[in-house]
Amino acid sequence: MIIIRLGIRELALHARLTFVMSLAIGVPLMCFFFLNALQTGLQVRYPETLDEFLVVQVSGSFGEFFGSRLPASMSDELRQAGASLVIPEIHTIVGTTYADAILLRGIQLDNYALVNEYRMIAGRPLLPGDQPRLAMIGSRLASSRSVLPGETIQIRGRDFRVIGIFDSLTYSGNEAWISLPDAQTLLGWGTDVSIYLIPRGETYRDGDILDGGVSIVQKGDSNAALVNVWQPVFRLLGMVAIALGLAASVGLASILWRLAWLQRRSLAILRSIGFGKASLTGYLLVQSGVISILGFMVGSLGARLLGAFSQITAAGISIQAVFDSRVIVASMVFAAGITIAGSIMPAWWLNRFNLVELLRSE
Amino acid sequence: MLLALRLSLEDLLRDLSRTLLSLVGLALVVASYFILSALSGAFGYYLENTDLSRNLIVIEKDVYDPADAILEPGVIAVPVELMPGKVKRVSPFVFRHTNINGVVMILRSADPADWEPVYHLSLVNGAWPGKADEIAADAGYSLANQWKIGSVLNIFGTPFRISGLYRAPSATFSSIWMPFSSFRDLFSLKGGYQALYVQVAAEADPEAVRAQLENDPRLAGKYAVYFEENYVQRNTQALKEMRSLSAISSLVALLGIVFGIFNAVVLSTVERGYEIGVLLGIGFSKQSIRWFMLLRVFMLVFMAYFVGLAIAGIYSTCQQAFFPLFIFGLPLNLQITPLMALNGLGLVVVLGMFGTWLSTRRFFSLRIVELLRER
Repeated sequence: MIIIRLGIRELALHARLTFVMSLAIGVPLMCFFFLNALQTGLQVRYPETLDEFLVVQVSGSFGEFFGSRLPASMSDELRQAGASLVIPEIHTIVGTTYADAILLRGIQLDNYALVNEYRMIAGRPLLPGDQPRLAMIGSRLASSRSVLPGETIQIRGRDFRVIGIFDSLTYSGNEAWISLPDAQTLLGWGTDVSIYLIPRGETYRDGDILDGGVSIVQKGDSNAALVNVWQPVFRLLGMVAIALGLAASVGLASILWRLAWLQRRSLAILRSIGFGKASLTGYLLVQSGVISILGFMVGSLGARLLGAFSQITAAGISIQAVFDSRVIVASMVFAAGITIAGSIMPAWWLNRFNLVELLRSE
Repeated sequence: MLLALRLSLEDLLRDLSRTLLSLVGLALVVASYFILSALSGAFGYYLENTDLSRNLIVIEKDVYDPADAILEPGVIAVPVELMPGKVKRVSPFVFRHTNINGVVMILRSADPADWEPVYHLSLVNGAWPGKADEIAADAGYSLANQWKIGSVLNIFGTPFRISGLYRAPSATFSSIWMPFSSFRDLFSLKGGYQALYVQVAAEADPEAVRAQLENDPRLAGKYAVYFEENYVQRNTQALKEMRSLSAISSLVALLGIVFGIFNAVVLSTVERGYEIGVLLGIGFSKQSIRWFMLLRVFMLVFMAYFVGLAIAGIYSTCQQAFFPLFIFGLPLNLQITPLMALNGLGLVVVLGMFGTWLSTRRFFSLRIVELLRER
């Protein structure tokens, strides 16, 4: 206890230095925290959870986003092959520029709820028999366009009346859902669709290839590919955050070393009255722990502020920072790593000296 | 000045291990800054590249993804009528984002006779595709994915063999290329193209040709005509936020310089309080001591700058050579430009000065008696 109090007292005596050192640790922690939260946002929002369905799409496409187009006749072929349920959907990106791009989903009104998880937060969902030019939109799209139920949203230059706003834990919160015939008319696709959803465990299996370059894939396959696209960039940013963490631990080591050096006589006296070498290590760990805790508070606050005010949007798809327990634990481990790395060297150095040398220092 | 330099250097060398620790910490911060700046620059390349070529693109209006565009056969005739006086070459093409062996790629196709003159692809290894199951791959893509001549890629459920590796001057053409006949068979296209490249003749005014095409009654209202670079920029606006994120992160990273200098200088002054008090007592001005400290900081910061720059340079060269970065099929070339290096130097010097001022401000407000009590 004495050693802890002594360590904290020493930090209090150098309050300004402690504050700046905690900022030095807070900055890499903030970067690490924020990047992890962005990566988690990407991983949490993009996987689909309804794995009892398979997706029929053009091979190598990102059918659940864009790039797949299949004829209406394929629905009959799938049924004839033994699929008990075949649900067509259109998925594409519409708009003319990056700024007005919208993820569009054309849905079959009588069974879309079977394959899409959502929760209405305003208005009502689309229902069978609804008139044309109605849309239900995801909460993130509604918020970015400032649209409420009853108002209109422009999709590919046409006005659609927003009938409801839904919330979803996945990327579909960025989407506008309209009826399948509306989507086909809007895109000029005739009777074509993007994908078909069929129940898993029947005739077809994940990985099957059909004639004409059509594949059966797991629901969420497109999303996994999209997540992979960003991974190299996140890996690079993560490495930079680790390099900054290393720089912070080097700075911490330097500070603790000098603080301990300034207190070498007091520490030697403690050693001479019975405190072991471990106590000196404890002394340094307490100091680096306090600095790291302050740095963690600064870093997490900074990361949350960054997360609140920034999101990456690419072609109607947004990536937002998600601060869940995994992110918090990973950041704590990172902070602990900085603490330990920053304490090892001064502890080793301090324990190298013998008592006589230290007591002779004044 | 020379004496001050010698004293600073001796002071740094006196406690070499501590100097090295500070140097490593600062160099890592500088290296991080340069890597993030290079990443931001790589994203920015697609947003700012404005070298106008003589290529025009004719594409259906109101289409976000070029893969969704349809080029009616009659459209090709419009620029062909302007040959040879105003238009040198017309090349219809098709484009598709595709997932090849788990990697997002751009697949392009046009008449192989146009690949070199219009798209400026240059073969670096192997041969251009001669058979229906052959393709040409970008050399950077191939390096990133460990593909070689003869590697087989599964595209749209069909195996294709890489017959040639090429480099393209414009990163926008870095893709997998296949002859149109193979593409048409693969995707069951009924002879349709998605867009049209128009190479303007050397003696013609590209803007006048663009306007003439866009106003042609057969195209007006239904098709847009862009300069190639403008079209690329329009489609890569999605990278804007990643560029901002990298740029902001690089500046945040540089704050480490202020903290690093602050810590180094504060400890130096705390340890040397008595000596500084004596120097002030015998007539040295606060300003001269401050200059001495600044000189010491500059030496440390310059060393860190050059070490950090070297680390970042080696890292980006290795990344480029062994693990090239791609996003949505676009190569990200990490390059530390002379302008970046100069900006970095300016920022490091300013932040080093700020860190010194911040750390010595309180210390120099003390009286000599208080400083002498520091021992």
